[in-house]
Amino acid sequence: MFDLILLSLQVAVIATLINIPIAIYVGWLIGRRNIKGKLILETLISLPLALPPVVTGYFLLILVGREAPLGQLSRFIFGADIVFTWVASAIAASVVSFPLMVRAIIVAMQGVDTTLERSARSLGAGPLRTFFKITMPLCYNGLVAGVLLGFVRAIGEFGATIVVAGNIPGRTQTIPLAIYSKVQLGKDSEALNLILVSTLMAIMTLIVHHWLIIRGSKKGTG
Amino acid sequence: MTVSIQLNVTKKYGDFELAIQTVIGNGITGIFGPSASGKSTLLNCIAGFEDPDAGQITLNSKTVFSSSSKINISPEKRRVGYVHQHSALFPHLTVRQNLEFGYNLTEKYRRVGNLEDVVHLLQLEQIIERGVTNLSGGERQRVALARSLAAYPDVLLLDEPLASLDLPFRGFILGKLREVSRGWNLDMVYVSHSVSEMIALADSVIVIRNGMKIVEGNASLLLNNSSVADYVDYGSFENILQGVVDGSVDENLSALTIGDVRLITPKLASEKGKQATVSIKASDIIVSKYLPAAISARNILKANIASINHSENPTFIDCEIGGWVLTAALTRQSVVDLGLRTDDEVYLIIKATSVIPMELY
Repeated sequence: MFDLILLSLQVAVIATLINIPIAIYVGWLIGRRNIKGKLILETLISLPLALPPVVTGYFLLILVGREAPLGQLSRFIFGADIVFTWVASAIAASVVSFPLMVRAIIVAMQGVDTTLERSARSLGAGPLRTFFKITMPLCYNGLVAGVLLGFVRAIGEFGATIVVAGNIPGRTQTIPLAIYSKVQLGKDSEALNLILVSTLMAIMTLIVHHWLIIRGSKKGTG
Repeated sequence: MTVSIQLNVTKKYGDFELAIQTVIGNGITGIFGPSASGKSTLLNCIAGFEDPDAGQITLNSKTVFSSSSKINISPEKRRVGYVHQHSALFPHLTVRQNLEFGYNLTEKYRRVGNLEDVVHLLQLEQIIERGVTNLSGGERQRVALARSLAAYPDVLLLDEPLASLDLPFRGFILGKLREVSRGWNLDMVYVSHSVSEMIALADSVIVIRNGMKIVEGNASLLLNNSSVADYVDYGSFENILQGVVDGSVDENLSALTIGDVRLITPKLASEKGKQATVSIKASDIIVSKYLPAAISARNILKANIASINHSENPTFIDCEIGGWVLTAALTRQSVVDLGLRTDDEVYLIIKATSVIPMELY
């Protein structure tokens, strides 16, 4: 069971780490900038939230499958396929958890008063310094809350993962997939242990998430 | 007049269009107008926070925006300070860190003195290490002004900085703005819809309305120009005056010297020899053609009428006393009954309790 938890954490951590810089950039684009095509961008990033995860998995299979361009590129560079590996699990978890993370970050960034950023600019700070010294610290709590929300979604990912990474014990089987297998095989007590671990991890993450949100609103920062 | 800012810009928002062509000279220039007349948009265009649709902006002979030449200098390179109405202090930083933000980004050769000089100027010693979230409105605005000054800008823009402040803080900040404008030779553009502040502070004023410049000139035009009469609250007009404390008269009264005149005021907190700001409502000043005798009012000031605005009720009379001007508000009938004319010698009667101290401590 220890290996199972470790693999699940590995997949969720990698998925979250992939998402953080992209989610901050997209969150800034949508939350702080007046860009054209904002509606299209928002629709695209929210799509995995609305689609059945199995469908998201199917789209990923088209993108990273053996015959797909990304799959061929991986074989060319690393000499290995992406599909049915833990990397595919991480990609699936990343895509599915991205909307939750980015939406929380957008809300946090929208909560930062524009006049603070303008003040920083008029005091001589360029856009990057303003972002890292003013915007980021002010939406820090919301940002971490978004990352945790993404992480908890990534660790619980099932539908897209089973399509693109399968359910191979020791290779791609994460906690949700193992629970599914054990329930199918009638090993209810083993499944129950994993359900308990899964529930505890979710509760702990959500407590920290809510604590950060409350702390952020008390301090007047996102 | 040396030119500080030259601008000719248009900017459209839905039905509203800002279309201003003007030259802003050195010293303190007031931008006066009703709400939603385009005052803040104008400041934002100068600061670089908003781009005009078309036109050109020149700051101290340097073009910072030109739609035809495709020039648009970013805000941080314009060297324009900006004090917002609601301070806009960085809530995650202390007072000192707020001040250091711009100070540390300013090249050493541009600094006038050091950070402690700015701290002392705005009297922030007691709160310098505190967080900014628990400061009072007046303290916040003092920090906001200090923060802008600590970046040593070439031009300082102020967007209604006193709008939500109590009287003592208004007096303090008005005094400091005057002091810095002259002492540092810093040009300022001051947006407000308070005629009292404009007359107390601005060397010249530009009146804008519906995005257009209506009139410009000396700030006193606000008291006698018909184009602003419908949205100015003349009833609340007050003379804001700065003088030197001349000590106590008794336990309840102090004396303040303004120019050659000694004004009796309620007890002032400032020590003898220090600067203090006071306000006198124009409607609290009684005008007499003869020297009154046996009267309880503590101030009877001999003055000459410099100008009379005959257009509206109340009628404002600018009276020159020892090198400075005090404005009294009378009903039109009083002016007619007394037969007041320009250059007439009159006596201004002001109760000591009508002089309101605007001191910080």
